[in-house]
Amino acid sequence: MKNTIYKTIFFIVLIFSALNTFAQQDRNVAWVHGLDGNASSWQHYNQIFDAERNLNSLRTTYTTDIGITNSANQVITSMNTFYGNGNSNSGANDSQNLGIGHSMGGLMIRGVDKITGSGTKKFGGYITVTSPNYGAPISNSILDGSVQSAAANACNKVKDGPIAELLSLPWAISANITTDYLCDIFITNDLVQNLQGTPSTNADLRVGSPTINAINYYTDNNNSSIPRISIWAEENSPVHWRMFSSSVHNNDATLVNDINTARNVYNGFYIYNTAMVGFYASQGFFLWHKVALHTYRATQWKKGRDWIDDSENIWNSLIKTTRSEQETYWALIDVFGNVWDGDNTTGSLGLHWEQRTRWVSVNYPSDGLLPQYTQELQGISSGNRYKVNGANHLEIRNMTTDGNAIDETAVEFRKIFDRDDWFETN
Amino acid sequence: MKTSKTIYILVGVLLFSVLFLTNCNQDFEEIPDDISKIAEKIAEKSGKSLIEISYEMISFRDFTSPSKNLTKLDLATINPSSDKHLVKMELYESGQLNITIDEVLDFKEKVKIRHKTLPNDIPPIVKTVITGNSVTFYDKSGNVLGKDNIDIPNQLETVKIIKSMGKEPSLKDLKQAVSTIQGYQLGANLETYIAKASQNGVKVMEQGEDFVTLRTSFKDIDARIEEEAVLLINKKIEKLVGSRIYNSENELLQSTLYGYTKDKMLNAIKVEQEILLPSGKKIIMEINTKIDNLSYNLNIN
Repeated sequence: MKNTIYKTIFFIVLIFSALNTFAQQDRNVAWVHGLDGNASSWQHYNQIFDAERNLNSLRTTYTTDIGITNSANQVITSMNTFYGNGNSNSGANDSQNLGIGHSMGGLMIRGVDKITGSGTKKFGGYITVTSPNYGAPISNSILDGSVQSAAANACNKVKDGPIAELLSLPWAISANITTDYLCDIFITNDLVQNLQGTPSTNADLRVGSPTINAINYYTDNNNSSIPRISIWAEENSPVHWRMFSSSVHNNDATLVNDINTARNVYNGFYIYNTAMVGFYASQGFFLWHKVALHTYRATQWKKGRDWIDDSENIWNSLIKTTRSEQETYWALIDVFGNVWDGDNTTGSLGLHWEQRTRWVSVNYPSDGLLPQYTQELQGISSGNRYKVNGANHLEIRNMTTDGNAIDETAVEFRKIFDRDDWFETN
Repeated sequence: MKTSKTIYILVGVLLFSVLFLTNCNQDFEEIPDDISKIAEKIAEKSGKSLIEISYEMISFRDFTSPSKNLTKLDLATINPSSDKHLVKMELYESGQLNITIDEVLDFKEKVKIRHKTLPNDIPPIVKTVITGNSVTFYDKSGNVLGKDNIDIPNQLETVKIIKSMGKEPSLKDLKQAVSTIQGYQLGANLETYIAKASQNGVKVMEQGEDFVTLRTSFKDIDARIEEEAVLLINKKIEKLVGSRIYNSENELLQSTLYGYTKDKMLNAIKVEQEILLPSGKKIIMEINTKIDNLSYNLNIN
């Protein structure tokens, strides 16, 4: 009798276990990469959650240089091929299918939603991750020439110091950074290169593009009930160097340290020349032309140092995450303007502090490429908006690369998969 | 007796060993693990610096009449900024220049743009030590953040000037020394200098009771320098109070005013330069620099 009870319990547990496993394997998840990505872009989280939540994942490489709609059609084809083009459980048209898209991948999933009709919908819900849902302002800045002119302006300032010091160009500022590297980084970084190299996609991604407007119109007016979540990322300052660092070094710190070194080399030359000004001007020598020359050189070096200090704000203006605001601050100004008299020795300049107010450029949150306002989906509740702190546009695909022992993106995915609604994935 | 003698010898050897090892240990402890500190030690051992200069420097940058109509990109390049540095410079007989720069980061509160971004959590460089052609960077705890090379020019010419001044240099000695080295016929005072200006390639542009304006090239410093300078000298204090730099097309590159304390030490610099904005518009950049507590010691043997 006792044996029979044990056998029955064992049998029931076995059945539930099998059912549970079957249920857990039901959810198809299509991990869709962005413009700069490929099949391996989502590998890290795909592997974690396949093991943890028994997902049935599709992760492949899409051609993304042919515009959003064409890329979205590739997603449809891939899903039909991988899951089978049917309405059966676990098929490509299963209403439990989840799409997770990084960057442009989010727009591709939303594009799939728009171009598929009732009965052939590929996704019952989706998660956009740092996606340009309302356009990528950097595309506008590339198209209107702002990126080019910002880079040219950077070159002038970065090269002025070495030229004044009679150093040959390109000049190795430090072991890892040259003047040319700093000059061109706004253009030669992979993200801008990928956009520039794909004119149709770049045009699609710009703010105000008909393709993105049509996707948003569809979402807002035709199918607003589909469960959707957006994850946005906010990177620590300096957002641009961190994002470029993630691209080049696969971590967000190496390039920041290299740039800090370069910045302080410029500062070293600036201080050196100012010290020579102080020495020659205060001595009784008649070497006034040396004073003038070192003053000029100090200014030229300072312009390069200041460009490095200002570069985050300049980059942020290209990705449209700055605002013009009025600011009051203390200004060190000359006492009597250009009159040769002051509070110093008669016949020389004097300086003092005075408050001043004017328009300045203020940085607002971004992932280093996209502003918060385009990463976050509108028309959804605040509970459907998640944020990954300290992540840039690239590293959000694998937050173990920042070395802080916390996988912040995985934490947010777990919160989503543990919800008590459509997104619940156990 | 023999035993106690042996004991004394052993104790002596032991004491010697302990003292020797202790001294060795002290020697090892004195050797800094940092290359730049070793270089500093070598410099100290090889003699005092010929000249030491230290000062505090506050620099403020702003732009004239920035309009709200500027593009956001233009505006992003012209935010006001300020910084403060504590500087110590030492010049050695070899012409090696050592510079220690402490950047006072919290001074930026004078101009605080309230950015709405997450703060930078990577330790900033707050101290830069330049020893000849090497540079070492430190964080605020004194940890080395990086090392590199830096092309600060050797200052042998300046050393020659200072060395030829002798133990108790007079102003006349200084001027004589400079005249010898620079190839200038300076004479002993400003009047002679002005009178002989043309022999030195210096053109007297204008002369009044208080001021004289000179125009000079930099060819004596380096033949490759194409810029020229117009210098405004206050004759009463015998100081440069203004300068302008022109390029080879005679376009103005920079205007500067200089201020001095009652002791005739430099304590104020005002620089103006026309800057090209990304849009192609031009704007005047002002950099005002305040130098406090400038002191220098000459150590001539």
